[in-house]
Amino acid sequence: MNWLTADLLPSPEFAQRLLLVAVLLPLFAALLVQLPARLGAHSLARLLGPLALGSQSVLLLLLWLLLPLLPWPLALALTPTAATVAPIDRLALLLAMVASAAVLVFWSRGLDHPEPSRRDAWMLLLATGLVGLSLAGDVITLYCLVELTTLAGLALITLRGHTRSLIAMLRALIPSALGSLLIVTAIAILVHETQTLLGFSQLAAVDDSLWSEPLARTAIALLLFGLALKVGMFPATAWVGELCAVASGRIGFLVYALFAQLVLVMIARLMVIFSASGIAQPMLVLALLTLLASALAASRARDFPRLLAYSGGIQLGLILLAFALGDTAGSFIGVALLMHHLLIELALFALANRWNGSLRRLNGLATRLPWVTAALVVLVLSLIAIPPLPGFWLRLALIVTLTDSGLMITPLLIVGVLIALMIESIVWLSLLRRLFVPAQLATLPDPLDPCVYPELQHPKAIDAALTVFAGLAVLGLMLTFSPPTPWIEHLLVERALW
Amino acid sequence: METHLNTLLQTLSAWQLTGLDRLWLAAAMTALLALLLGRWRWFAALGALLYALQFGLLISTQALSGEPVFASFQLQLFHQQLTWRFHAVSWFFGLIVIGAAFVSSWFSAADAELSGGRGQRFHLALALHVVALMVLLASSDALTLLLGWELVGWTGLLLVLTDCGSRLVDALKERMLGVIGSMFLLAAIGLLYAATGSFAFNAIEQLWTVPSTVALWSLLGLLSLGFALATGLVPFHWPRLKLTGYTQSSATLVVSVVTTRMSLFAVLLIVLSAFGDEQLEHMFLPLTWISAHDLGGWFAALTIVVATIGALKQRDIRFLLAWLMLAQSGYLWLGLVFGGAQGSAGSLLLVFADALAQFALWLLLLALVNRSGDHPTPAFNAPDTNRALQMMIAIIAVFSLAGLPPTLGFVAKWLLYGALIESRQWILLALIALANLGLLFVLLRFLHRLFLIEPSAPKSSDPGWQTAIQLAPILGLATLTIVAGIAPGPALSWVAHVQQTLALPIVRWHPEGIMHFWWILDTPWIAATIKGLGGVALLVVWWWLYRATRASVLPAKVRTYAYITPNMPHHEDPDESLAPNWIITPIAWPAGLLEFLGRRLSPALTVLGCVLALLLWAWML
Repeated sequence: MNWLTADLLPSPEFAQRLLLVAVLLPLFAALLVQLPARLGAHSLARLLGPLALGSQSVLLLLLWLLLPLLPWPLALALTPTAATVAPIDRLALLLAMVASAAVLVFWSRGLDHPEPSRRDAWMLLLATGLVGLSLAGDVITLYCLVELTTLAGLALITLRGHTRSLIAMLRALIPSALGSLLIVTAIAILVHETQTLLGFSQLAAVDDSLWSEPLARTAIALLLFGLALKVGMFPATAWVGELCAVASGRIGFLVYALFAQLVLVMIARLMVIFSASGIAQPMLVLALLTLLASALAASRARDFPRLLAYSGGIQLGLILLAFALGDTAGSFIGVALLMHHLLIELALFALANRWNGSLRRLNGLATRLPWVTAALVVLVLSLIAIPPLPGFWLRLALIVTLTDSGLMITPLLIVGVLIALMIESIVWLSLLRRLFVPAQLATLPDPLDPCVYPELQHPKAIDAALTVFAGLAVLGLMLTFSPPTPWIEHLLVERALW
Repeated sequence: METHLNTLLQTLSAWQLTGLDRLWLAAAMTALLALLLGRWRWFAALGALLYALQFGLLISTQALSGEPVFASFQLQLFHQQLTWRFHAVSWFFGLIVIGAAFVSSWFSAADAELSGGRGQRFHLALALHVVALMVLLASSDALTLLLGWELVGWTGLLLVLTDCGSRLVDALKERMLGVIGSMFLLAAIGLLYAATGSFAFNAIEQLWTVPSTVALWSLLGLLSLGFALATGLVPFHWPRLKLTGYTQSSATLVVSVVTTRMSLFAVLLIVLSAFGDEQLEHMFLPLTWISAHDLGGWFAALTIVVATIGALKQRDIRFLLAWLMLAQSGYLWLGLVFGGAQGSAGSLLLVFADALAQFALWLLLLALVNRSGDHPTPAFNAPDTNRALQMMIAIIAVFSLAGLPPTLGFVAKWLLYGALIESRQWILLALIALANLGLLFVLLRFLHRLFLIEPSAPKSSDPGWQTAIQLAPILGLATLTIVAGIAPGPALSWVAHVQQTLALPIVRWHPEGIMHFWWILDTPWIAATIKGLGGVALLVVWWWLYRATRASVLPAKVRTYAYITPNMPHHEDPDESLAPNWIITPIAWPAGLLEFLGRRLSPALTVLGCVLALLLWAWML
């Protein structure tokens, strides 16, 4: 980037507008996508979505490259002035890029719905929500984008048109609405107490003594627990599996796995701002409960999407645990775990598109899908922390940091982590066993399971490619013999709040 | 790019291979050749040659008596320099590992089924497992030990899966326990690092400065549970036992006989060298008078008793041998727990003796199975010219396992008894002696089943060269057992070097290998008399057995003695056991209970046990 001199740099207003355009592009496309469809230009309607998402990804990449060179901060907020909200950092931009690219890769081309443009519109709204969520710089914007993402996600699930999906959506609505209630209450209290519009920079500038006031502490707890509830952490663990079971694998990844991790990063940022309130300890307990509840649920899972959802819950618990430890090491491990988990979930949810029934259907698939199975084995072994795969180093670092933290509940946390990991290992190894058991030796098929032709178990080419790519990426990380430490450290050091 | 290339070339040209580098490269080369040429019918012979080369390279490292040999490869993690090195302990166990791979490869040369893809998988898995074991044996701290341990576990799974007799379900169950065990080891390493800031074995010594023993007990508990789970000790034995029982390939024996003993290597490195024998004696469970020493001793005794009862109740001779191996694990732990010069020497020597005898017995069994063409249950008779030789081999191995003179097993077991006498553990001594009698009874039944029961299927007409190829390594193992038993000097000198490296008390020995706990045995002529009497007993048993098989009609007493009827079907359910007779009944119920818990409730019990142990640990903290 040496060729980019100061004369060639965009003005602050232009860069800010570029950011707004990047975030809002899918929103405009969502509003427009139905028009060509109604006018009969179906090809244009089909192209509009991928075009908007592709442009968004390119713009975000451009901003990612420009960000270190810009002498002024960029910020995204619904509140009036950019000065009050936190400046955007490279981690936020990276996550926004991932979100945009994930929606593009998982674009369904509307083939599985009679009215594809309606589905495309909701997908684009989901993209707006996910990208905006990664870049939000104040609590109110964050809340609005969380609601937008939830709404788009639930709509996409309902669009499948099954009674099951409608029931699952209604069930999911209950904890989600409860979470919203907690967040709104917290926002009201915090606005009243701080007399600000809850920009992250404004909150960071508030005197720490305020955070030790009972009312403020209650508001903080309500805010963070509300956010956690909305992404299916304890006690809302059960509905996550239900939701993923009725959604397709792609939607499941976007609506649950990706969304939850983006919200977790925001929770981590808020925990840093509110560190004086002592919120870290309750969050550690929440992480532990999520870990254990998800592990127990995973042990009872009888289909692949549910298994993925609950295993994802265990990973979310681990990430939250790392973030709640608070120090630099915790943040580092949290971000590294998050990246690792995102990569693996991307591949596994892609497989869940076709592997969406009972686990019994997967018996003996290894002989028919050798490459996909090989990649899956690598991913699963990394997920259950088998050395020398990257997952092992991250778990080891987490356990060392936990043991080193010297908190009163440390032993309990270690016990919880080990139990959850043990159960997760058993569950995933059992799945691998199924894949390798010859079909003729496998147990009889489930009589309640609809008859499925074997070829329907074969993932689509793009899903298989994603899985193999993720497996190779994990192996590549292993061969470097260390996690990409400097890169992640760079992401963290750059951030003003960490 | 050019600069990087130049730097790389300079590094490579300046690279001086150490002894360990050469050994690792040879092991990796064997794996590569197995991948490329493994489909070739005669690769087994080439494989044996390559293992012989590794053996030579191991000897040339001179790690037994000289300085440790370091690998050039190093790793920087958590601000720690991770290195790998070979010293006397690694050398001793490396000798057993490479020897086992050599014998296994040689033996497989006669297996006509091991060609094409199956042969390639067999040889590749064996070579990879040996590479993994070499990495494990070169561990220089807790983290490299864990890395090696996991590598060995997963390559062991690959090896087991090449055996058509082993079952995928059992193999994965066993690995599952291994993974759970690794979680405990991971927690132990985390605890160690957090408390001392280092992964080094001797960092544990720093924990002695902590006024509370909680950290130490936590560490010891996590390590013990981890190793017990990973190596399938009581009560986590069932998957390992089934895996061993269904063995049909010589490669699986490397996992069953050698790899499972690697826990001893790990325990030697961590527990004994870091915790120290004296400290274990003075570590009391909070609010009790039970020391870590006593706890370990009774745990080992429980393993021996349960395994002996299991073997007594077993009707399938492969499962009988599998139970026997579990019992021998108990003896190994017993020697380590009671430490001292004699205890640790007894354990180390028993690893060696056990590997020789178990390998000989299993290979003999596999040879008879193949030659009778009776898959999957073994044939029990071999009425041909080699019968006398086969019987002699079997009797030598049985004598060694039962701890009878003049075999190497006798020297090892006597050292163990010596350790118990020195520690004044009279109850344990009586218990172990009784269990050993039970083992002897089991082994006699094994001989009876192997040679005196009529075959269930007609024998195939295998060519003579196959018999010669298979019998040669077995004969070598038996010869080594008896020669090392008569003159255990070299073996004892290796053991003394290992003890010196670990800073353990060193056993006093001389070429005749007489023990020191009982002064009268110091006299050479008494030792020679004992060995001579043992030799006579060995010949008498052999002659009696040989004569019995030559008789056209076996005396009824022979059959009733071991309560096995000649008409018993051979295709048995290995899980099924005989109705216990009046001798076994009073002591069988605790074993039955443990067996039931281990078999029926294995996964649930494992998780529950782990949860309870962890909760207890958390409560103690």
